[in-house]
Amino acid sequence: MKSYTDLEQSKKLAEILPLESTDMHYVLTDSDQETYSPGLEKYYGVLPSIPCWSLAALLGVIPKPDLIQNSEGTWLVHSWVNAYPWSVGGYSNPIDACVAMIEKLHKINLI
Amino acid sequence: MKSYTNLEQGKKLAEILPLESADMFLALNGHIPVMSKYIDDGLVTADNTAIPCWSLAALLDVLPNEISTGEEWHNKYQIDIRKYNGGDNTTLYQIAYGNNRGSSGSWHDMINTGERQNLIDSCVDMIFLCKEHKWL
Repeated sequence: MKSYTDLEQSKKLAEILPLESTDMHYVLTDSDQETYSPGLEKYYGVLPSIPCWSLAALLGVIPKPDLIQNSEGTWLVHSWVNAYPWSVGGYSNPIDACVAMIEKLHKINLI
Repeated sequence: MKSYTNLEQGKKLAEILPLESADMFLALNGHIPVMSKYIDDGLVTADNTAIPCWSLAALLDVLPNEISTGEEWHNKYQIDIRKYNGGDNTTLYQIAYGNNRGSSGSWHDMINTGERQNLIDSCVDMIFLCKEHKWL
């Protein structure tokens, strides 16, 4: 089970989303090996930590989200923007589905 | 924004859910949440100084992805998590199990939690509803 965005997703989202929307952060625990551990506090823009989003925080930034798990167990997200349902689907966990939706909405300038 | 279950919810859920399903724990000295598997860290102590805690992802992992009340397709219901504008700058959340069996193919809720101000509370409500109906 994935509880929060991974390091790669977090770095991408940090370029897209306002940093106030984070509810977690990664802390650099080993500078030699560049190892980061998750912490349960909001990111305050202090280096060398990296912002991170839990599922609750991701859903907080998607416009009118509708998160659905189908009978096969995969996750899809609809986001209703101007009465149009933008969708992504086929993800094995809700974190990846929400990240994909945010990236999609960002590409078309809706986030 | 609420990102994980509070102390009271954690205690209640610990009575009905397997502890392996928790992805966090709350240390009782100051209620500091720590992101770590409850069981893996051996923190089930005799004096209960740590209690399990669930993030939203962990709560959704516990809920069934489908509820069946019969063999036919219209008796199978998928989970649906919604967020919408409640007016006056408020945001409301709801979790439902439903399907597209409406006369026009529209979504029909078989059961829902009602409107809550955060998804953690909605999920906790739905877990207790599922337990009550023996779907969990």
